[in-house]
Amino acid sequence: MALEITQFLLSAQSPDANVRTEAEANLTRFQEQNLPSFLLSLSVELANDEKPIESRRLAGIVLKNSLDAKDAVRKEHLVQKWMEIDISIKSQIKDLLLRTLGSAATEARHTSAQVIAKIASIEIPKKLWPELIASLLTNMTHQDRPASLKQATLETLGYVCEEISHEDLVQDEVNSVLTAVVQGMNLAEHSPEVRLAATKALYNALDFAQTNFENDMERNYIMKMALSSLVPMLLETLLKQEEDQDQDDSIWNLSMAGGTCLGLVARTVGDAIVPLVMPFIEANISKPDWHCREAATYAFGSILEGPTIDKLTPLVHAGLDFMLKAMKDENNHVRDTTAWTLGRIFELLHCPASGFSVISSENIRQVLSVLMESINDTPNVAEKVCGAIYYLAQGYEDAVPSSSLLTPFLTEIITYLIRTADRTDGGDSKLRSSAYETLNEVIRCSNVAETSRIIEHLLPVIMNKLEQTLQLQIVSTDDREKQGDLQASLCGVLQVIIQKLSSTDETKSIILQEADKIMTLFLRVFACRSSTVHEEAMLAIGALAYACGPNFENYMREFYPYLEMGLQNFEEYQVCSITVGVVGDICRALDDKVLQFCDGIMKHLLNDLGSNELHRSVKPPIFSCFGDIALAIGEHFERYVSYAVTAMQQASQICAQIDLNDEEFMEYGNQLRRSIFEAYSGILQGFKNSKPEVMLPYAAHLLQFIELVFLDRQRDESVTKAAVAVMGDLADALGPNTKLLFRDRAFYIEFLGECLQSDDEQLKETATWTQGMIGRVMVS
Amino acid sequence: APHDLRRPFKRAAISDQQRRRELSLQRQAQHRRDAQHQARCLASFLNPHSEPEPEPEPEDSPKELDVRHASKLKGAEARKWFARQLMLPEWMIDVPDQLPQDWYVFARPAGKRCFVVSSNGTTADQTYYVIDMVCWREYSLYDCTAEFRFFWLSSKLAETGACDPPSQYHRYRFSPVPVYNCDQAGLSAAYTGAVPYVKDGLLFYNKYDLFFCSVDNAGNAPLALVWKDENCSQYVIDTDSKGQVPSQQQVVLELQDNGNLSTSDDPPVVFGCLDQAFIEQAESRSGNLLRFAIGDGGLSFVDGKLEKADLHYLGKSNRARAFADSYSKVMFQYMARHSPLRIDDLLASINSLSDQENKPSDVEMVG
Repeated sequence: MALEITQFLLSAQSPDANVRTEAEANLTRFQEQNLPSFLLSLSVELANDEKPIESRRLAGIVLKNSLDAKDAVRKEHLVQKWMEIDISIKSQIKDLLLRTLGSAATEARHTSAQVIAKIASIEIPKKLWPELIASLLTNMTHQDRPASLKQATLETLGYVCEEISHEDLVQDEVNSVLTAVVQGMNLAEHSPEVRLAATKALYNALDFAQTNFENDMERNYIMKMALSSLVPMLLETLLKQEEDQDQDDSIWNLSMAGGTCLGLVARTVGDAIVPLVMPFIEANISKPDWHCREAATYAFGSILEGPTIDKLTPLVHAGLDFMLKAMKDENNHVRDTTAWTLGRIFELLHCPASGFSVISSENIRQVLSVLMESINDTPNVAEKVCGAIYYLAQGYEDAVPSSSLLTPFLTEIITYLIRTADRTDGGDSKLRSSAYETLNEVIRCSNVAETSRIIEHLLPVIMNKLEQTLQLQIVSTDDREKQGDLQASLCGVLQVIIQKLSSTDETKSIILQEADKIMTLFLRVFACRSSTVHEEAMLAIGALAYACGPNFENYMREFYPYLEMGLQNFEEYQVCSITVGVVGDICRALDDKVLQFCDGIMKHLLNDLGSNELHRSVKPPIFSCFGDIALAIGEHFERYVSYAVTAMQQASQICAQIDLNDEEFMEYGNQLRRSIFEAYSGILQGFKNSKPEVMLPYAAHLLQFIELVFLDRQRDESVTKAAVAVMGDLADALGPNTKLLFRDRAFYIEFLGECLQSDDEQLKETATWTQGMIGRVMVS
Repeated sequence: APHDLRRPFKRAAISDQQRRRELSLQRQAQHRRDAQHQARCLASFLNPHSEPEPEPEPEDSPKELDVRHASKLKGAEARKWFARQLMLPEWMIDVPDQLPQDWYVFARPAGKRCFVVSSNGTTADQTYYVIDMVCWREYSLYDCTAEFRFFWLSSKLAETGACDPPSQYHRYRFSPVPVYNCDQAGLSAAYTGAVPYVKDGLLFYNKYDLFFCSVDNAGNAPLALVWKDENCSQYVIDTDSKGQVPSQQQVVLELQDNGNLSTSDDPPVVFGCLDQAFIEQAESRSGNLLRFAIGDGGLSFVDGKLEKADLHYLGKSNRARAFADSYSKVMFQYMARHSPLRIDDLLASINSLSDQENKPSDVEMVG
């Protein structure tokens, strides 16, 4: 049945285009006319050690491509074709492939391994190739089999594991696969090639160990056995740094991989890592060779996440002074890593609100003086120092409203950060944006009652800097990009200042006094670009709209074109998403005065919803925004209601079709459902007082959708809250009109019952309220 | 290509830009929740201590406003609106059926009934005894039954610490009053039990009423009733402006277009009629509240309906009055002076009810 196709396969690789085209046409014809015979012929070619490697190679590739494709539809088609082939032919093909694993030609073995995995991906889940695993394992357990066969077998196991799920196999098979792979890594028995293949296979087979790892005993045993061998190995790698590795972001080397891995191990095993690492640190931290000092410091920084606070606190207390001194180490790498480690210490062991911190009123002055001095170090070190200040400030965030230890130093810190942002030796803008981002955190986490005067003085400084960016000479696109980056940082700082100062009535007036000037600046930043709007400026405007309230109306005429531009920015979907959020801010600020802009806004929002081009993550915020608009303009939403609700109904249809096994899609489904409910809530409440009857025709569909969501046991709690709330809104707004609806859909009783049992007080409260609303309807 | 895992290498894990985005989203979500909560109920914008403004004659009745708009009212307009929302209990002139099954009872605190709208801190330091609640955070309780409102009130007040001593954050102290089922034990407890406030009678709440049902005009049974005697109140019989009990009962009635003198009830109960000459002489006009004494002729009834009242004009009522007296109030005062409803009558009513429940089998055996 197999045909001789060597010549076709060779001709198909001919440099002569005519020869090549004809051979390809012949192969395609053969494939179309008799697929079983074609695939068998390819397998024979691949398996035959007498044939030239070129024809075997192409045979393997064509074979693989006859079984698998990137495009899902095509793949499904190929799988279908394979399934239709007579079982005896398929058996022959599979035997030939397994036999090829023992071939003398490396390339043939490798290709065969891949093809086997493709067939396995089709047949194993359907239980059509039960003997595959056993036959592969036989290759591994027989001492007399050549190393090349074992290597190819391990490779095959790796590919197969990658293609299938461990649930497709029985647990015995899973265990055998894992055992075979681990044995393949055995140093004494196997050649380096076999061990490499085994290690690669293990990478794919690790998921198969899930069941073992779900068993605490087994997991702990595996990890304990591994830990004492693994950690010393990882520590060794830390000493293999490269010169200048901190200068170049694209470098990735053994010491970096080792340190990253050490951090992951610490997170996994917790306290157990500490005694394995401390001797290494103590032995190396003072050695003359910088590699040793850097490795010791890096090891210390890497294990700070995972072990308990109790375990780490004495070590960090004992080591803090040393670290502060090491900021003056002669070696740049050591200073860099030390600053990073200080940042990790502040991130993980400095939490005054929870009652523990390595920082006290006794040592804060010393810590800050070291940081302020080191922020003038080389750019890479200065950037890490910014990170350390970032986390130092963050620790005081939840300590508010009690006084922050940082307050007395705030002016000085801000001065240093701005000076650092102004540095010109940074090469790229990384140091500058680190400095501004740290400034943001310092402002955000400060105690506004104590620091409002300082922030008030900072405001004109930042506004002035933003003003200066508008006067920059722009010659090249590079200039334009730099200007945009700088504006982004400064708008970010302004956003944080606006939000901080408008958080209390006493300090809000500072923003209101400057609002005209701030808004003018933002509009000029927008004007720097012709086609897109500046994301950071848009974010800041949302904060300003909230602060200004109804007075924001004064800026609307000038701002509106940019709002439209943002809503139409499909490519930079983050910009579109942020603009949608700003529409919500404006609705709440202007209330019914937003009406005059709503025709345009609704047009764009509906367009956005209908667009396939726009990233899907923007769509849920648009539905929420419908609710914001409806709540602001009340009965005037009537003219949009049929469009909006139609879109909401379509989206709820999509929710019903979402694959619950796809985690990412499930999260999206939750967002979508929550936002649809928020839209209904806003619309119902908006109409409640004037024209609730507008929503009557949509009530049944809404209730049906709520029921559908209720039936989904995996729904997110935030979805549950929104669903229960909208059910109350429905009863509240439409009153006795919903009596029959609720009576016909008694699920609500069970739903409320479930919510009333919840441990979440907010949910219980909402459910109780909804119960009251529906109760009122039912007795009416 | 470098693996994703490399990113943690000596890097801060967060992007401040991403953080700013997220914080913005959080802020927006919070404000959206606030706005929806506000729409769902009364909000806290109203400042209860704003200066009273000269009282304008409102063109359209504030009664038509909904809660959402009312929450934005200020000053006198707001006071008027809220005054209407307060459930005005009727006075108990008959003992309702089913007291133990359908009613709650509690000792009514002396003092002004007021609508407390929680806002951002005020100045005085005093205690409010909370007898009802129309709204809790975002939840309107207007339309919920009393049973539900009491459950909610007692659980929520305790949760928030509103009952704790005043602090920087809330300068009033709120205290729930103990509410009892109106069986014999409950009624006795409310009547004789010690409370930390000055008692002014007993308040009866129908468990199934909705807050507004007391102004129901369909002739339904009243759903909040007040009753008092001299053991549980210092003010059983109304006093005049000097604090003296006048020798004759006084009533305040509203002058109608047609000269009728009526109570504040809906529909109003007519107590008498003034002729045009008298109206002109007294410089009164429609809508005025006028004060009368009930003379020795008293009140006469036919088939339980008021037929005639012996009214003597005293003058215009105090300007501070917002409403005329209700029929039940006049009747309660009248009965208090002549044949009061006594605590024993209430207890007897409860007993006779429970007797009836316990006895049917005896009756059958005898039969």
